[in-house]
Amino acid sequence: MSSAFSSNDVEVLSRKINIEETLPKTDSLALLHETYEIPRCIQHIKENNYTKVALQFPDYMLADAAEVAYQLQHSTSADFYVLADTSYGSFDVDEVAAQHIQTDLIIHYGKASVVANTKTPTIYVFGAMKINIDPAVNHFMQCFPERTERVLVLSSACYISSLDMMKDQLQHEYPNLSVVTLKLPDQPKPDAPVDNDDFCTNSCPDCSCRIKSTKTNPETVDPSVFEFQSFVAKLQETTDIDDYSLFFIGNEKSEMLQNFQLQHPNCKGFIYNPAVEKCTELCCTINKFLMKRYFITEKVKDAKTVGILVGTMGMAGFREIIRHLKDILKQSGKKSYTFVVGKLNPQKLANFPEIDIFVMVACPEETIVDGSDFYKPIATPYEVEVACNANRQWGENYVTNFTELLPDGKHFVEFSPHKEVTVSLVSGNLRGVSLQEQDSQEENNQLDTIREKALSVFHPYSSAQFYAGRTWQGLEQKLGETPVGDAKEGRSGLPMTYTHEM
Amino acid sequence: MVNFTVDQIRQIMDKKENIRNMSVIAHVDHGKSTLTDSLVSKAGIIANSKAGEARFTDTRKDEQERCITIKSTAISMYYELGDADMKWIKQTSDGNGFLINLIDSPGHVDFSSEVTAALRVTDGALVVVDCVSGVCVQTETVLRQAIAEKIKPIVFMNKMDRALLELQLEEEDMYQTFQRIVENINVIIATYAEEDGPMGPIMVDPTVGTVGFGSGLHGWAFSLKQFAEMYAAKFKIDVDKLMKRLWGDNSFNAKTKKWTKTLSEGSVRGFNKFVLEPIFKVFKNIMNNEKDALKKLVEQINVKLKKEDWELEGKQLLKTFMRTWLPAGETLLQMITIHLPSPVTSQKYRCELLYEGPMDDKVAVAVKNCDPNGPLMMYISKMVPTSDKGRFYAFGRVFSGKVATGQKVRIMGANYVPGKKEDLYVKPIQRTILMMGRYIEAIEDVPCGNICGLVGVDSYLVKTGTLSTYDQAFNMKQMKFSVSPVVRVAVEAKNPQDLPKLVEGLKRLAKSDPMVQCLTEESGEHIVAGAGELHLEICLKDLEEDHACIPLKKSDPVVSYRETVSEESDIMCLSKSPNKHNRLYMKAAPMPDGLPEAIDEGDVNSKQEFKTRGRYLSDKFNYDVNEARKIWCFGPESTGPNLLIDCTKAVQYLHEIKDSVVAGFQWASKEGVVCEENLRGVRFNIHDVTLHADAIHRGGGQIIPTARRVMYASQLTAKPRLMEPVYLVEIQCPENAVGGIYGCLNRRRGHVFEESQNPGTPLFSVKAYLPVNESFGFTADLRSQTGGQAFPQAVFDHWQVMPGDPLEEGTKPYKIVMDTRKRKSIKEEIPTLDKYFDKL
Repeated sequence: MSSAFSSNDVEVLSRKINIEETLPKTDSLALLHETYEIPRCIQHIKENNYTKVALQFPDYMLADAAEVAYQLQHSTSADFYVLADTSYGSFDVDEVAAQHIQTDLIIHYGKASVVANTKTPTIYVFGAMKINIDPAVNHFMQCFPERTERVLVLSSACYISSLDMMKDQLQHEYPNLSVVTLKLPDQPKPDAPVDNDDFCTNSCPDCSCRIKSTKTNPETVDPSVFEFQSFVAKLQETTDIDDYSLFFIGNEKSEMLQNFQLQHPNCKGFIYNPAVEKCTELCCTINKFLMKRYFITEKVKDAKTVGILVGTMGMAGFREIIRHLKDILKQSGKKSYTFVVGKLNPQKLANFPEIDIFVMVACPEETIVDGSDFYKPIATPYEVEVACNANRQWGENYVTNFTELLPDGKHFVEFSPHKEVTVSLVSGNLRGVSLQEQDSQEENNQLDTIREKALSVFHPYSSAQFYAGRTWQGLEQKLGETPVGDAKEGRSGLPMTYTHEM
Repeated sequence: MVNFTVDQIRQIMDKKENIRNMSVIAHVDHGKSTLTDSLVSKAGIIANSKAGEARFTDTRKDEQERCITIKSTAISMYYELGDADMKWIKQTSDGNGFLINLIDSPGHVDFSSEVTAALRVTDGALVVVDCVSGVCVQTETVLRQAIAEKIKPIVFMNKMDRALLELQLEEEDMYQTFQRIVENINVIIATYAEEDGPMGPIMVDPTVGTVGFGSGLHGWAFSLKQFAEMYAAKFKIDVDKLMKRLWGDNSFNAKTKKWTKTLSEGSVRGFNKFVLEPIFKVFKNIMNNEKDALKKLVEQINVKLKKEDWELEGKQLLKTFMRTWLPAGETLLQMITIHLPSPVTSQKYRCELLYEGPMDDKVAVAVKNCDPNGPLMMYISKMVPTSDKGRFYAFGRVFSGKVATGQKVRIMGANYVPGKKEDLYVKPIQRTILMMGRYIEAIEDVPCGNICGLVGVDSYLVKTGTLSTYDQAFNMKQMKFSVSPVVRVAVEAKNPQDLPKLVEGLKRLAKSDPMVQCLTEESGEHIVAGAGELHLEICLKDLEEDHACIPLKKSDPVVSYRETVSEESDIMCLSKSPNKHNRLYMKAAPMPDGLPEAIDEGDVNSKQEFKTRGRYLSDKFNYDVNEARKIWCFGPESTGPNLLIDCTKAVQYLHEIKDSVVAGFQWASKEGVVCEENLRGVRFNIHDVTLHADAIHRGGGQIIPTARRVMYASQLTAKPRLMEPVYLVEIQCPENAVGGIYGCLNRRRGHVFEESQNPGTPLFSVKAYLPVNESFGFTADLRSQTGGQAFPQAVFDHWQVMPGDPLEEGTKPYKIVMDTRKRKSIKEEIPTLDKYFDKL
């Protein structure tokens, strides 16, 4: 728990990164080529005559980075750069880092948040991993003895290539089977609206062979098509996703699974982990998890000052959501500040003790941060919406993708601030009314004296007030209190290691 | 019953000298509600429109089913005192008609908070004591509270019928019983009240008429005044002088017809002779069916029984007879109007206690004078649910000025500080209402000295608060409860989509009960905390059926624990900041006995002047004066019973990091390292600090987490312990059941510390300490062990360190820690020292 607060010097070097994903087996060159889809990348680079290519690896794949870069370099004339330490999460395409070297292509390896909309052409390589089909099919059959059962097969992106094979094997036996397919976003045309009809063709032509396209027109959404993040599945007519059981292929701790469960808390099913070839039943810890998140919603309601953390630069609409959050917070009588701190850690955020709660603006996989080590909790944009927007009810689907909260998003709800004064169950105090109401209260308040009016000039929760409450308010001059002495040589060097400390 | 129109009621309200606000308080089952009923039937005001409808005092269904009062109910009564009796009133009055606002309060300890809320808005209290059981633990608790609130008590000895019929006490035994109860009560009063206080003599004394006797169930009662009046003419002695002779050792010699001051041969105690003897005779005659003798007696004492009443027999006749002879309503109403103070009298001395502001400001002066033309000052003591779901009537007392429909008032919550805007709302009152039992009646305005309800302010108050029209008014003091919410249940919505409904329901529940605590924990669990099992049971039932209206999952009751330390840290603990540039050295140490309690009580608090506090700590608890002056803060919530003390010498920049260390301390004392429960009785000493010379490297981000870590390390090295809450249990039972009680308590880690027989009765009373954790199901267990003869009353008493190391596997605390961690869904293994302790 505390390791996030501090670590000793040795530990920094030998730090073990929390890797839950297993590194794909790449003992042979052929396997490497296959896993990292090197031929496809080479072809793509050659076709488009890219000269500078950034390779973004997540931590767990870094071990293979050199080899992959070498293989690519070997076959193309382009320069390759490995982006090792990403500014935000590894899900996000780190365009900012790529722009430092002005690359014209980013190849993103590993788990990705494909909802991101990048300006630089990007190829997503999920690290395709093979599933041993036979045990998987066997497990599937054990899990669902009833052949008519409606089952939705969902998998981590890296297993998506094997899904077709599974589908072929199972389809005759299970008539009500639905298998998801991946739908990658359109490649960048800055400022152009996302066009779903025509995806992925210009920049990575290969993927159409891998990924079945489900042509959906955004205006006329087909109710039988189930969409989850960038996955789509064709459901049977007149059925709902809640009628389906889930068969998830991937790691039990996968963020994707968590997101799926958040949106469909009543979903039952099984998780099949192909790495260990084991099948476990989906447990309903999601209720506890939702309770925790609801607690954070309550905290947002209590908060007077909110810090908006920018956790993505790559996702479309991140500016809009920040603007939106600022707006609704202001209308709810809360102050907001925006922070860009890169990767989060407790000490960075504890530098701002006047912030009551933070909001993480990031891709769906990284927006939920377990805040137990942090001095102040971290909410998601959806939770801020629930807390501030009287029109938005808790209990509908939990929205992790903030773009859906924006106007035009499928979960957009017109904003209206809470007007009722209520008691907070967290602090036991009353929660104030929104700003405007306090102001209007001010105006027609005959009892108020001039003295109080003067007070009300300050925002009641301004940082000036917080500052006034501090015991130490900045450097003190102590004029005349310090003895006079000779001038001494001061410190030199970088603050981390001043020369006198070395 | 008296029928009035609202206008008539409103007129009486203006006569502030003739108002009596009183509560009826007692131990459970001592007969408050029954007694109240007899009063209401005599003098209860019922609005014309409502006359003839169903019973007046019946409010909740479960109250009737369980035969126990759960919520306090206010009833107004009107009584006209006879002209002859007016001279007994020692305070100013205005005519013969009196308005009596009576609040019937629950007797079960679990609902003591209702009593506290009732006492706040009243000026006098009728203490009911069952003369068979005597003064019980709850009698003492409520009486103590009444005195602390400067409420004048009068006493009524109830259930005389039981003493006569069941126990067959002799006259002298009866007198002794009464005498002992009066003494016991006066001992309590003397312990908690200052002598020569502003309230005047508040000791109860039968010879002045502040003690009544009788039977609420049978509807008869008397004070010495009634008997003295009967004999005054015969002896040609003034009533007040005769009353003195009817109590104590004053005795009457039948032969010499002379009174003596002492008991001597041939003479009989005045009380026995002239008060008890006639009553005993009546009982004997009726129960033995000696109607002729009774008829004679009737003539002697001049009771007019109706013809058909003579047809009755046994207990029925007895009841009718006694009721006619000594009507309870009349006696009690006389006692109330004569001896209890009017708002005018009481607010003079209660103002000081009630008002937080200076005693010479406009509000204080108006309250002292009970001035209807002064600024409004009203205290809201509780919320009463309305038929409209989620809305409440704010119930309280107007102390000065008038509260009127449509009036714009300042609503000040507990955290309001004059001049600041926090916890302050200015809103109009939608409606002013009279609350009479379960009926309400709209009224234009209510002047000071009265109790009323308000519509439209409930949402701006948490539970209680102050209303005023004066912009510089301070708050009225918060009520202090005698019980703590130590029993907790976690509730969960069966469907997570119902969470908002659950939260909404919890908010309503929290409002409707002065004591219950509803909170959401970090883990997302919703906790309902109450004073006891019964209290919780009622609360949860209300929550599920009335407030949330969704299916709930409830955990078994759990108690909240506290983390503490038992020794000073055996090593100096060091933690380094994440950037390694700052080092904090600290130790944890237990507080001396009594200090955490002193902090709880507010004897030691964060607002005190540091020198005064330092002196107090060094005198009482042997703290080093210099250290005691350097208390940085209390925690958790800046008020809790843990201290952070600066023991450093000449550390540069120390004051710069104070805020950050304090923040870390608040965090660590709120969630201890062992199982994230509050700390209690831990003193953290900062021994040394080395800081980076550059301010940017010693900011909050570096210091706050480090302060928490070093405090966790200090806690782990100071032999951490768990504390559990302990009940004081009082059990009354016949002798043969005592064995069963011991067995029952022993199995539950309880121990008896006092056992005594109630003199004159076969009843034993046993007092014991019982861990709250072991108390679940205790009542039922005890009943089955003692054949239903023992009935316990448990009230939270203190925190007790649990023996055994919570870090050592196999001990009881370890198991509790594991359970708690699991419930909170935090990592199950207790973190080890090396996570927090850094090497140099």
